[in-house]
Formats: sequence, structure tokens, C-alpha cells
Amino acid sequence: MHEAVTESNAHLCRHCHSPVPAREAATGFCCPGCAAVYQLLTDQKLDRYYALAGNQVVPVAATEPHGRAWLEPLLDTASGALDLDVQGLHCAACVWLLDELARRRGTSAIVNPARGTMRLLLKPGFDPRRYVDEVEQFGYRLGPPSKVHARPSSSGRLTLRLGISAALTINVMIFAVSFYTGLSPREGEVFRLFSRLTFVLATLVVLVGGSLFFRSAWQALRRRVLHLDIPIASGILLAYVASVAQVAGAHGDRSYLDTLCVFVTLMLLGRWIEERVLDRNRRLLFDDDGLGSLTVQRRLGRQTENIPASAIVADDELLLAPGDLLAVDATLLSTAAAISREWTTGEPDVVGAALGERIGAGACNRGRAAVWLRAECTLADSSLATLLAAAVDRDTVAGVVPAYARFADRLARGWVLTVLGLAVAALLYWLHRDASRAIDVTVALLVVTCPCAIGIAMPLGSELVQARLRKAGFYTRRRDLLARLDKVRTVIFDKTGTLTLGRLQLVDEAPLDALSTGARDAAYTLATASSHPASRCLATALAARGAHLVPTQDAAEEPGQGGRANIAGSTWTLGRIAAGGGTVLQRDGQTVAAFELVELLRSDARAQMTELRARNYAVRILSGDAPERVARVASSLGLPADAAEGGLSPDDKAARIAAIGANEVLYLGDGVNDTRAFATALIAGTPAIDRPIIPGRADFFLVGEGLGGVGLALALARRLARVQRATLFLSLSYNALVVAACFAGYMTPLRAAVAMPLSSIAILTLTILGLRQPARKPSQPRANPASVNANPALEPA
Amino acid sequence: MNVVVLMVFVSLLLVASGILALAWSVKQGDPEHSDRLSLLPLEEEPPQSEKDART
Repeated sequence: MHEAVTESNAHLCRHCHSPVPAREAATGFCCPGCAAVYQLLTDQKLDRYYALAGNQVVPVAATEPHGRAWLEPLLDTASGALDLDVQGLHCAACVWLLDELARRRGTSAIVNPARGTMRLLLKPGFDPRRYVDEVEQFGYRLGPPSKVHARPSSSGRLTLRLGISAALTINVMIFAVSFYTGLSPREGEVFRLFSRLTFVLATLVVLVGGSLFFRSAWQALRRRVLHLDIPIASGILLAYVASVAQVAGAHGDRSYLDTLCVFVTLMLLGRWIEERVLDRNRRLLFDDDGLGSLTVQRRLGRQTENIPASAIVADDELLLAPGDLLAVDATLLSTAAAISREWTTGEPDVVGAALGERIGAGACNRGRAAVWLRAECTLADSSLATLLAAAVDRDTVAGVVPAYARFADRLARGWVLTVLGLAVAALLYWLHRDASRAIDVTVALLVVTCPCAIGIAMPLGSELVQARLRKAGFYTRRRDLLARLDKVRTVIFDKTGTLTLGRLQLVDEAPLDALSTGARDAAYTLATASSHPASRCLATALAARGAHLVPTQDAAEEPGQGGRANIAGSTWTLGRIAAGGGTVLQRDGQTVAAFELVELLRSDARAQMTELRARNYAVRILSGDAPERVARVASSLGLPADAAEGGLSPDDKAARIAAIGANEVLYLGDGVNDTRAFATALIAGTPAIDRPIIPGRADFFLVGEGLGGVGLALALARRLARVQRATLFLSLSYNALVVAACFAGYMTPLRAAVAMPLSSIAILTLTILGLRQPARKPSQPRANPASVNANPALEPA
Repeated sequence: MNVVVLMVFVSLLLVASGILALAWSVKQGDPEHSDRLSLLPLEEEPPQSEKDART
């Protein structure tokens, strides 16, 4: 089935059905991650995954290799079962895949995608380490169980409220039908029975379902905030009290209890949709928003022990495995190390460090071997903690009301005051005209003006938009993100890891093709012995040309510099010979070939920039990397020189955002040096979901290699705002009509029971139709292959 | 009339049992496992030993 789909959509990724960038057109995949996972699934006969996933497959997240320091202490204490957190679960097919992989290894896994956790049964002969490695090949990440003991989700209680309210409401409506079709007090016992049962069931609905709105409205009143739940709660309460009075007066057929129950249930449905979407998106990633989750290996006599980073004290000797992050500032005890400071400074280079050199917290071991370091301070005193401490959550800043919140506030305030004012006016008018009907009219007015359609249409619109965004790899983490997106006027990107992929690419492959067989094999042998990104790139290119490993005993890597080996009596070296120069292959000191490597830009980065600017967004790059590199990237993306700044500190970035106008800036970054910018900007997002801390502080995250989700989100947010304005207009028109009907005394429970669902259906239809047509297609590099192919990567490595 | 009362009583009992079943299901955490549970009809019967291990 999947094959059939891919054949008829040759320009779509065979794994995730995303548009394929021009430079990957030959592969048929949007990114190497998708290609690798597709290959694994088909090789291992796991292609049932596609049948189960349907069109829900999302692009494979680009992840860096990371250490397994967290796993050993779990295995030490686990008995019978191992609880783990899983990142990247999104549908039933993921559940099946993880379970199937476990089954093939002779055990079983109970996967919980709603919480992003799994329980792995530890049967004899089962090696959980190999299972973790295998699962991570498919693009998932496993980690220690921070969610297992977390507070249970509130969505369970909401589900129960909704279920009870829906079940009872259906029964109330059955009784109501009999009233509408003629059951009257003259019928005697059946009328009384149905009236009382309606009252009992409706009371339960108000207690179970309505209490959610009462509590929310009460909290809003205590904080002296006019929230939309206040008119909702007051409508429920007044309609209930008035209907109870009718039932008590033996006029159960004139009560609004059925309409009230439907209203409460629909409102709960809206809340449930909203909660569920947000909960799922949040749980897709690890609960990893602080330094507390980092673990390190500390020397303990002749062994090591795993401890949380917060337990580090000065002079501890720490073992940093390949791919691990250094949590505190430390001094290198090993003779050499290859480290990357990309996460803290934005500089992508892997550099060498020598014995005794001081290495700042946040550095990552990019070498092939674990290295020893001596801690200089505790976690709380480290430069990393200092950097993160200043990044406060903007929502906690008192006295600042962001623009996105003002509209909702104004709407709620206007609604509450108008409805209450009209109710008082109706009461006074009818007390003067016909006192016996004054209460009936007032209740009718309060019932029919409840903002139920808005309460359902807004979450529905939000869910429709978010479903499309998820397909484009864009996941929101906060409730009001779409409202905030509509306020964005400036989009700012970090460079390293955000616009670039952290991988390198050969500018010209001719020097590679010109190599003799011996030189090619020597270069391959050296390249495979190093973990430097340049070596990884060359090794892949050489392997594609049929290069082989040559037996050698002394292949050695000089961290950050390159590799050296004696092969067939000659000394071969592969590495950089001058700062800023290319990678050079030498034999006995003589240059054999030079390779120019460039940092790979995200496939749709240029198209995305062009599109954002065409839609009148100001686009800028703020980076901690060297200004000349940033300028080159800006130029290759078609941005003017003054739109890109390099060499910025975390504070500089925050200051630039504040100067532009923090309440209109969307910032996309990936490093810990972006946390202050995150705290300043109106919206912050990250494509780096495999890094600690950053995803937990972002308002949204991107999965996959493209940036197209950002443009799509901005476009859909604008469209959603337009649809919501139209919805509001329709709702106000409806309310003007029914209020007039109430004032004239024409409103009855039956008319309200017909008018309210009709208005809800009209508003829901408007919302669905308004959001059905694509606002625009996500940026497709294919549409403009020249612009992407011309220079996909201009950043010299 | 008695038949109507009886039918109402039975239907309310059904509603109550439905609500109890829902409460039990929510307490079990079934809504969180809905993706996994949706796959169960497609699976072959696991061996008895695996069932024991899961419990």
C-alpha cells in the first residue's frame, strides 16, 4: 500500500510523504534520517509500520549520538521490568514498532504513547542495551523515567467528566423529546417522574461537568480577572436555578435543563480536545527542562559511579563519554580531547583540547574515546547554570500583558458586562410589563447568550490547525501559541544547528574522483578512524566510491586536527593544516589532495527565507558564531548583509530582540546560548529536540530537517485569526437576534433548544470550511530547485 | 404506565453501569493506552507465559 502511494507521489518522501528537496531528489527521501529508517523497516520486514501509520508518519528527527550513562544505574536497580521515557512516539504504529522490536528480542514492551513512556520486561537473555541502540536507530530516543512517577494527567479526570456528562445528557434529551412532543402536567405520574428524573440527571451534569467552569470562574473572580468562563458559569448557574424553580412549580416542561446539559457537555468536549492536543505534544519529548536530569560518571576508587550532575563537587574526577555533555566547568586530565562548544557558543567547529586545559560547562565530547576531567565547581556555580538562571519565564514577569492576551481579555470583559447588562434590562422591562414572565425572559436571555459556540469552535479550529502543523513536523507546547503567532512580525534565526544541520558537504567532488586507488583507501582508513564531522563526510563519500580499509596498526587521531597513519611505508595524514583552510590529504608531508567542505544548510532554509520576506516578515540571523561565517550564510540565503549579526553573546541576542520589539519576535534557536533570547522573544522554538533543556523552554519544536513548519504555522495562525473573527461576528449576529427575541418574549425552551444547536453547527461549519483549504503549501524547495541547488551550503568547515 | 417506569429504570441502570465501566477504564489508564489497545484486535493471541509476565 505504501509503495503505491509513493509511486503516485514521486516528489514526496517515501517515508513521511513530506516534499523532497531537490538535492535529495535522487534518493526519494526528504532527509537521510527518513532514508535510514525506511531502509531499516523494509530490511527487517517491519513495513507493516506504514500500513498502521497511514499518513501519520512524520519526518525522522535529526539526532546526535549521545551517551548511555543514564542506562547503567537503571539496570542496576531494575528487577523484572525497566521503565523508560520515550521521545518521538506519535501514533499506534510507533507502539507496534517498539513492541515488535522487543518481541523479536524475546521480551515484550508496554508502550504508553499518551505519556511517552514504556515498560520493558527484563527476561533472561534479553539485553536492554542492544534494544535501546536498536530503537534509537529508528529515530526514537530513550531516557530515564522522569515521567513514570509524575503527577497523573488531568486529562483522565476530564475524560471521566465528559463521559458522565455525555451519558446523562443523552438521557435528559430523551425525556425532553417527550416534553416537546406533548407530555404535559395533565399526564400526571409520568410527567412528574420524567420531570424529576430530568432534574436529578441535570443536577448531576451541573455538578460533574459544570463544576469545572464554576471553579475556573471563581478563580478568575478572586484574581479580579474577567475570564470567558465567568459568563459560562453564570449562564449555567442561572439557567439551572431558574429551571429548578420551573420543575418545583410543576412546570418541568418549561425548563431549560436539556439545553443546559447539551451546553455543558459541548463545552467539556471543547476543553477535552484542547487538553488532549497539548498533552500529546508535550509528552512527545522528554520532561527535560532543567539541568537536574543530566547525569555524569564520577570516579569512585578504581570504579565509576553514575550521579546526578547536581551532586558534583569541586575536584571530582568525571568521565565524559563520546556524545556526552559536560555539566560543570572542568580541567582536562586526559592527554587530548575533541570537543564542540556549539551548544553554548554557536561555533560549530570540533576543536582539540590538551592536558590541563580548562573546558567550559556545556561542551560536548565529539571524540571517539571517553576523557577524564576534574570538576572545578558545583553545578550551581557553573557557567551553564549562570547562563540558564537569568532566563526567566516571560509569563512570570508581572505587569506585562502581551498583545495576544488583550483580545481575549477584551472579549471576555465585553461579553460578561453586555450579557449581565441585558439580563438586568430584560428583568426590569418585564417587571414593568408583565411581572409573572420577568424571570422566564431573563433566564431565556442568559441561556441563549451563553458563548457555547465560541467555546467549541475555538478549540476545534485550533485542533484543525495543529493537526496540519504536526504533519509538517511543527509541534506546539503552549495553549496560546497560535494566538501569539498572529502577532509575529519579525522572525529571527540562530545559525548553527538551526539554519545549518551540523553536517558537512563537499563543495567539489573532483579531487575525490582524481585519487588513485591507494590514496583513496588510505584516506578512507584515516577518515573512518576519526569522529570529526569532516572525516565523517569524507568517509561516506569515499565509501560510495568503493574505498576499502587498509590494515594499519598505528592509525591515530589528533583531536580537532585530523588523523595520521603509516600505510605501506608512507606516513599519511588527513586534516586541516592551516586555520580556516580546507581538509588536506598528505603523504610524507606532500599534499595529495585538498577538499573544501561546507556546512550543510537545511534543505528548505533559502526557500523559507524568501517566502517569509515575500509575506512581509522581517527576517534576521543572530548568531554567536564568527561574523564572517554568519555573513556568508546570510548571503547564501539571500538576506541583506545588515540582517545578519555574528559574534553575539547570549545577552546581546536578548538585547537585539528587545530593541526590535520583543512582543513581535519569533526566535528559533537550538543552543543553551539562546535561552535568554528564548525568554525575551514573544515565541521561541527549536529544531533541536535531542538536546537537553532547550526543548523544555521552547513554545514549539520542529521534528525533521526542514524549517517549513515555521512559515506554515505563521500562515495558518493568520488564517485561524481571520476565521475566529468571522466566527465572532456570526456569533454576535446570532446573539443580537435571540436577545431581541427574548426581549419581545418570544423565546421558549423549545426555541432555545433549536436555535442554540443551529448556531453551534453554523459556527463549527464556518470554522471547518474556513480552515479546510490550504492557506498555502509548505515551502517546497522543489519548486525552486535552482535557488537551493545553486549553493545549498556555503559555510566553510 | 408500569412498563414505562420499568423501561426507564432499566435504561438508567444501563447508564449507571456504562458510567462505572468508563470510570474503571479511566482508572486503569486505558485512554492513555488507546493507541496500544487499538492494535489488540490485530494481534495474535500471545502465549500464556507472556500473559503471566504482563500481569
